[in-house]
Amino acid sequence: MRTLCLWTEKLKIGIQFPDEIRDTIENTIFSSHLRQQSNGFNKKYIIQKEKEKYLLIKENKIINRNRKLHNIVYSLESRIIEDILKANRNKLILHSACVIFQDSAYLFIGNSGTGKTTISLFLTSQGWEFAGDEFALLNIENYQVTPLIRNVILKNELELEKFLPHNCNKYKISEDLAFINPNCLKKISKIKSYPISKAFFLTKNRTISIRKMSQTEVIQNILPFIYNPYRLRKKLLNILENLVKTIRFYHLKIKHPLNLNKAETIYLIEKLTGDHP
Amino acid sequence: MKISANFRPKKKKVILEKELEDGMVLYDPESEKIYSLNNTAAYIWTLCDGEKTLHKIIDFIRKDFDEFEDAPEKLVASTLEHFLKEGLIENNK
Repeated sequence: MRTLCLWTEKLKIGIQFPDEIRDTIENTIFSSHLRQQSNGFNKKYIIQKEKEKYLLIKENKIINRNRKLHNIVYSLESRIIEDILKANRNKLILHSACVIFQDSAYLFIGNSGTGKTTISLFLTSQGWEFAGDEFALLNIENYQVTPLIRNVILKNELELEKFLPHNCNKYKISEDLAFINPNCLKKISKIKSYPISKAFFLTKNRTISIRKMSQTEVIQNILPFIYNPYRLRKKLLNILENLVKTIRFYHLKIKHPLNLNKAETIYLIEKLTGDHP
Repeated sequence: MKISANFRPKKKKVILEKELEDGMVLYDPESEKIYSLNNTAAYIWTLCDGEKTLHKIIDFIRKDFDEFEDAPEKLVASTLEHFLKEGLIENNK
């Protein structure tokens, strides 16, 4: 058995697994937060193989059992997210991509399939710093984000590798499913917090347009993208109020970045970073 | 959930509210639901003091707003019916 430690702010999670699945674990789950460490954990998960199935065990209890290892990885990922939230009472997790430009964070919020991964990889290819395509850990006291970078999952979108550096290896699970270890992308500090410049709700479109959203419109739209918002109870109202008063939210309609020509790329980046898009 | 002209809407005490630039946000800690109100709905909400009737609230809206998407009677009634259905207000009989 091998043990790795997943380091995040305030939490060290041990993951123990058989040697034979080392490649899968190292290439699929929060690789940029993994360290070689075999003790000193706050929590510990064990993955074991029993006959044809994999077991996910926490505190001597089996919490998942599945034939497919990547399903165990998904399950472990969501457990880790819960653990991170419990350990960080002053933070919430937004279902959003996060990219850093000139030391400020830009969030891209949207459901699966709206282009969070695409825009974050595209901007990284333009020199921005990748800080995650799925989660943003938002401090509700100062409204800054700390990177929480899971491995990029490409489903039926393998053409996105055009935006990746040449040294990025795809870890293919199947013909149309691959994981990218984010360590190959431009490095950012995973301990540092970044102030948020802007947040964008994403919609796919044939052209590019950006519109500032009103405060009530943001509140109408944002709740489904906050991970377990009701754990915040009565504080939720103050948090939402401060969120919409502190951060500038926009509705970004965008065509697939693979189809952007040079002029459109310049236009998009000017719109994203400009003061009055 | 139809309401009558004598309906006197009163905010439930438990509901928390915050004013925004373009409206208001409400939180019901019992149902753990959040409600985002535009300017008109927020104004109607502020008038739910348990004293004013539906009829009176319509008068206020007519006086204070120039443009309406719906007739003021319909707008106020449907907003209050929504508040009532969601358990945000009660009738102060």
